[in-house]
Amino acid sequence: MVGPENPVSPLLAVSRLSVAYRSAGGLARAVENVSFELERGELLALVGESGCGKTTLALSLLRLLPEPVALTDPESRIVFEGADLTRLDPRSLRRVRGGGMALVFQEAGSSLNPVLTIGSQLVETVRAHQPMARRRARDRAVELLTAVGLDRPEQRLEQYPHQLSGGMQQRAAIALALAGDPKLLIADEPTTALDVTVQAQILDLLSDLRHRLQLAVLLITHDLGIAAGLADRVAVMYAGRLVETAPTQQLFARASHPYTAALLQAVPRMDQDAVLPKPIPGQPPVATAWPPACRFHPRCPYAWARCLEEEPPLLAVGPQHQARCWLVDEPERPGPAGINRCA
Amino acid sequence: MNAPRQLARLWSHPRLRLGLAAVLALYAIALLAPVLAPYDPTAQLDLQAGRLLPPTWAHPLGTDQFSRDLLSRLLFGARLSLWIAALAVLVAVTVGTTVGLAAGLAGGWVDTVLMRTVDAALAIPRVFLLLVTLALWERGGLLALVLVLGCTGWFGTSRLVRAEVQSIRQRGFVLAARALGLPPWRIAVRHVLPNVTAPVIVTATLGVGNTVLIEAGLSFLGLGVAPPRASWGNMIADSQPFLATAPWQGIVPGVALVATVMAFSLLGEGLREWLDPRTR
Repeated sequence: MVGPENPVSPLLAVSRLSVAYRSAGGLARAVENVSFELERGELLALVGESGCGKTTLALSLLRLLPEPVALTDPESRIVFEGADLTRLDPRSLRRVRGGGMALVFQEAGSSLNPVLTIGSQLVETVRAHQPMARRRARDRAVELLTAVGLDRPEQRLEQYPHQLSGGMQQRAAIALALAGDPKLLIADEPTTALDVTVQAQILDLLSDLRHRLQLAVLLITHDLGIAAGLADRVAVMYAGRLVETAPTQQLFARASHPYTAALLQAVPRMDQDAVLPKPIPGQPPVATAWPPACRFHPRCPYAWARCLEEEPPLLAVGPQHQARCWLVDEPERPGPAGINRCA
Repeated sequence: MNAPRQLARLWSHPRLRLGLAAVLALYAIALLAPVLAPYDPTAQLDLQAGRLLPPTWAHPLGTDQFSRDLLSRLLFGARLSLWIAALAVLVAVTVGTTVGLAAGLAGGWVDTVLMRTVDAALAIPRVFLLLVTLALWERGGLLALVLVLGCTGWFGTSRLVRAEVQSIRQRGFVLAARALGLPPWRIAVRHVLPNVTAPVIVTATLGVGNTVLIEAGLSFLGLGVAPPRASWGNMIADSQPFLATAPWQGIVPGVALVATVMAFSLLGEGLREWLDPRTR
């Protein structure tokens, strides 16, 4: 790996990342030409509906996709702490996995090994990243379980995953992800399988850990509400493409892509009476046959001829705000209602 | 899961209890053969008056045509047969599990090469393979017998393990382990292997019974345990000319063989039921 990194360079810089799956229905372009950066300690929320490529993106960052089925475009660059993960040898890559970037999965229950105790899984992972005596690794495991807010950590070490509740399993899975002292935590829908109160606890934990451990977090979710509460910045994905990215405040105040605007209107609002969530018309497209040109045009109420001819690039809306929509280029046209666009 | 509770649960399963008791009894007999046997199994006690004697108090199971005590030969035969079978299955399971694990986890050309080799090996009848190898490897003795039985017995296990591994490696915790940066061999040994032990234990148990039978067959044909050492197979072979006049000489090892195979089947089936979460 490359030595001390340049402090001004971002922790993670992804550029032109494209991943396609070979499937029976043809090539499924799950992620196409996605570029983004993540600063140290930043919490970026990646938002999008099911099937838009969020999970593929998360797995491809750590190069965890099955190689013969998933094809990563050779142009793709994933630069983490100065090292390009797409060209890293397996050994160094393993050091990054868990040690640099760690992953928390949607269903903690299935991401823990049912035949091993929580303690042995933690000790194993701690020692895989930092050679130390079993006893010390055990102490570290207790620390980790305490850090994720599990009570009676000593006892938890001896328990098997099925002896924990869903929320406790997710806490244990987070402890496991922290075992290698990562700088970036990728949380893929970490609360989807949990009920609402537990969901809030886990989100609190993530935000707490982030500040305490100076972790950068890539939070993948389909829930803009979750993103609003936690994220510094939001990136919206649609049909394998990044369609809008902006600081959270900015995104909620001035959603510039019709898809983002539609997503915002689909979120139930507690603060506004008589505003019912509005569903987005049509079906999400499938990855083997994305619509041509702008991928959102079949569902977009504002689409016009240009949207069917050519796909828009990411256009600058503001200093840190970009949207992949021709409306940014032609602000005089009718756009998402109540959204103040600036050219 | 604490050990005493597990043992209690194990014991509460009727079929498993019976099979386990029978197999433990067999191995106890095998271990204690030198203590239990009334005579030296190879001693020709009385070649004038003591041949082909029916069961008496002095010889509870009678004697054979060389006036050797059948009970002693049966006990020592059990010792040989059971240990040979257990060791052969140990070899078979080790090789089969390793190959299956490698094929299932590596996939790609490794998988293709290994599994096509297994297919090819399975196309050759096992008995033929055993006969040829043992006939060529005359001076191998018991070691040869164990190795040859082991090395021809792992094909089924490797297929089983490969199939199990292929389903387990799809599961979340294997991906999670990779995401945590654990090296591939660790994932194989610590995360995948423990999840395939149940079916492997079951086939291994059934395999021991089967191997006892095959070893008896080989000894019967004169290729397994060489006389004068006692094996159930060569005891049956010895009894052939006297089946009409001294039938007990063949019945005794025959019944022992049937009982042994049944004991291992019971234990295997019992373990299958006990280990299968769906039947708990």
